[in-house]
Amino acid sequence: MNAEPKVILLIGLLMVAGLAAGTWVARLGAPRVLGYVLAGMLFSTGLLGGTLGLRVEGWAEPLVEFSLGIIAYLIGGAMTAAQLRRSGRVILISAVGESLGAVVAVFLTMLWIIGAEQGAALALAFAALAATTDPAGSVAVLHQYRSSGPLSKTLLGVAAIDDALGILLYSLVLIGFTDLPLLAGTGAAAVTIAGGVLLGIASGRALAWTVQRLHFREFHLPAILAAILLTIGLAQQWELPHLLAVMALGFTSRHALASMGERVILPLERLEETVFLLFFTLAGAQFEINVFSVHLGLVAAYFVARALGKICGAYLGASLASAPLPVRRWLGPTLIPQAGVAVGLAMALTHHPALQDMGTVIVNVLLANTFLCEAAGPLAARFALARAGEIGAKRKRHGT
Amino acid sequence: MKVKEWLKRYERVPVTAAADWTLEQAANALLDRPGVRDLFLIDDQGRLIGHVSLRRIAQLLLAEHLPFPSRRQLMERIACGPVQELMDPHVTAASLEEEVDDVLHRLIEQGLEDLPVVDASRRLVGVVNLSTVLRALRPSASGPLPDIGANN
Repeated sequence: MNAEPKVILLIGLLMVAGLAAGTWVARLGAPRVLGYVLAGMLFSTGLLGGTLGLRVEGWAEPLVEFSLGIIAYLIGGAMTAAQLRRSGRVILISAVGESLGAVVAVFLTMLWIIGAEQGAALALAFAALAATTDPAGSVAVLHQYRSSGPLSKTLLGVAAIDDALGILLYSLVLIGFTDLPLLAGTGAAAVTIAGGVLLGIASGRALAWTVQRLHFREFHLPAILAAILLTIGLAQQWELPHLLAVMALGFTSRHALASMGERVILPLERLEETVFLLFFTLAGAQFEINVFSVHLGLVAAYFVARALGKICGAYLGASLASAPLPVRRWLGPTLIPQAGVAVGLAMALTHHPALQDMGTVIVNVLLANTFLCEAAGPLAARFALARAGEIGAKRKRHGT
Repeated sequence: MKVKEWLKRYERVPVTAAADWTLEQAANALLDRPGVRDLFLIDDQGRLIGHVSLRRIAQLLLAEHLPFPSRRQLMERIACGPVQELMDPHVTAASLEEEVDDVLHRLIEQGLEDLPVVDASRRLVGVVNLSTVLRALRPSASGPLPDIGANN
């Protein structure tokens, strides 16, 4: 059997097994990503993947990049300029604070643990992944306990926009991998970032123009997917930050279509779960018990540093924005969960030349962190919301 | 039968709103008319500028009951704007001089229950209601569809 049929077979097997396991664990009340990862682990090289000759190697890169492109597009298209203005300074400044806090804390901690000489690139890579938050766990707690109040509202807003900041910081850190001197590097970074944003704006205007002229709604999804692929391809060709470009594409196309903006977002929202299923099962298939056991210290350091960075950064940001005391004190603990976007970004980093063979370490650390976050995140969110006095009557729990 | 004759026979007043109304105002306007699910936005001249469905308004007003909202829904929940940010500005409409036969496919395909009818200045003058059309045109057990063509 040649390689190509096995790739398709492996993707099919991963998706079927992931769906089955995800459904099963959700019925037990556990997060479905746990099922996805467990299904992926089943096909790692130490288990069925080795026996059946199914390996996640170079072929996964384009699939991960395209899938991440879909997520970046949805993150950019999640908000409009008017909504950002209305969301208020508390949400915006707190989001910047908690994102930067996590990035700085993880970078310094990893640098301290690994050492500057051999670990600067790896510390930067972990820092690039630290900002994103998975709002699902915390929002599920809000829903479950009918929580409402200033903290709940700030959490909803920050959770909606901090992945956008996460992708911006990720793009900046990737540019930081270049060997240019500081001053020249800063200028080159500014040009590169501006180039990526401009490419996204131009693609977004073109997509909006096209969608306005497509009378059959069945054509909207292929038009959006084509725009994402084209934008990623051009950005890679011109060495621009492609995720930033795609995020700008999503934001611009929705903005240009004004009240019709949902036409370019809704068709893709239905694909998000499929993308996360792929990320987690592919990441699970890259799980290596040896790598995991050797780097348990990195897992603990990443989890603790990121959580502390979120808590301190959120406190500083909320204080700068003159947020009420419960928001300042308790916003950080509600932002600990991290899952799909971070794992996707980690998968994309595995092939970066600056990281050489450290990609597997990053994916394994992020996978373990996901489990810790899924366990600790909802508990921390419930505790914080209770201390802020925003917990209401409990309702029946849905599986996450 | 022309649309203007249909409106005389089956008069139905559309529910309208101004573009700067809040979601709560829009919802109240629809809830005051049980069974109506289409809200039409008009400018100060009474001209049709857009459409919002009851379902879309309800999705936003009841968003806190969604266990797994998307990022877009989270933003809508905390920073929701006036009803014009939700409207479909390309809402299809019928004109008074058209034949009812010629506008029915728009009513069926656009997912509306009330097809707006506008005059030459695009002022909203009435609606053709899906239930009324179905009641008038449904095939009887023994006979063919009633004819509502130009000679009727």
